Amino acid sequence: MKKLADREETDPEVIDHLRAYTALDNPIRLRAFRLIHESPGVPFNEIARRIRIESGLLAYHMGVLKAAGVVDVTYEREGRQVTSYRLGARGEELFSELFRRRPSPTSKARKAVLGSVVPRQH
Amino acid sequence: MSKGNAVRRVHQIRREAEQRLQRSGLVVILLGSSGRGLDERRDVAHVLARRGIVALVPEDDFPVEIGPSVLEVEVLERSDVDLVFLSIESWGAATEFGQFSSNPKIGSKLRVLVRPEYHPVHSPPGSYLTDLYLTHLVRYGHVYPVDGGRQAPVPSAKALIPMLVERHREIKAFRPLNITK
Repeated sequence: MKKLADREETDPEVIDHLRAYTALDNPIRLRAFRLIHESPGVPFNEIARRIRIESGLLAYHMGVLKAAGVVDVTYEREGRQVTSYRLGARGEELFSELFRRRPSPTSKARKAVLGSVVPRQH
Repeated sequence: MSKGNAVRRVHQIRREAEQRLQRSGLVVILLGSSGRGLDERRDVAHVLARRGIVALVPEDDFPVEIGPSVLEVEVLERSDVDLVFLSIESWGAATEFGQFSSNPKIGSKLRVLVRPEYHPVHSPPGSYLTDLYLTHLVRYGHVYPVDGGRQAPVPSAKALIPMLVERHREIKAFRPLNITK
């Protein structure tokens, strides 16, 4: 049987995927993730207002996204402390992986055909 | 992509990663005292993260707008957290234990870590708190002696938590019905 320490280092990419997708595998967290992508730097209370979830439970969900490295957090003082969220580099990668429309095989094939018949213009 | 499709796709990618690793993804919360206890929880969170586990340290991960005492009972009851480790090294942590232990929805997720001199198996129950540990031990079976130093041959919290988490995710992956929540 393989030792745990060996397993840890076998596939860090899959491990990272598991951590990130465990965090995203919840409808509330996924909504917050999309909202943060649309509004980088959005404050905690604004997320609670827009997702319509009580702030106690949302605090847990935001904690999960932060601990998984999906979102970056900044703390600012504006009279009282405000926690704001944006996607970090890893979060943006995950967003692209999930939501960016990939070209369909048909359009890829069409492009290849077009590329072969239409001369390049410089 | 519609909301429903996104939820399904996320779940599918998670399942694929779980199958490749033959381990379940888990969300774990590490509670305990501040100071040295907090440093230790941060170290454990780092170890768990390297294994693909989402490990929360509330002082670092929760937003500042919400007080920790508001968070916990409600959140632990209703959230999808898998395990809650509570190192009892201060009166604050002992108070939390009293609150969580009496709540069946939290009690089954709770893993209590105490020093051997307060563990009811290692030393006879004397105080009310040690007696409560015994009750929790009988009801849920998850009170562990840790950090005994030279006096007691028990593991450190840092060694014990990853070991318990690893086994929990193996059971969750292979025999999910054996996990009580």
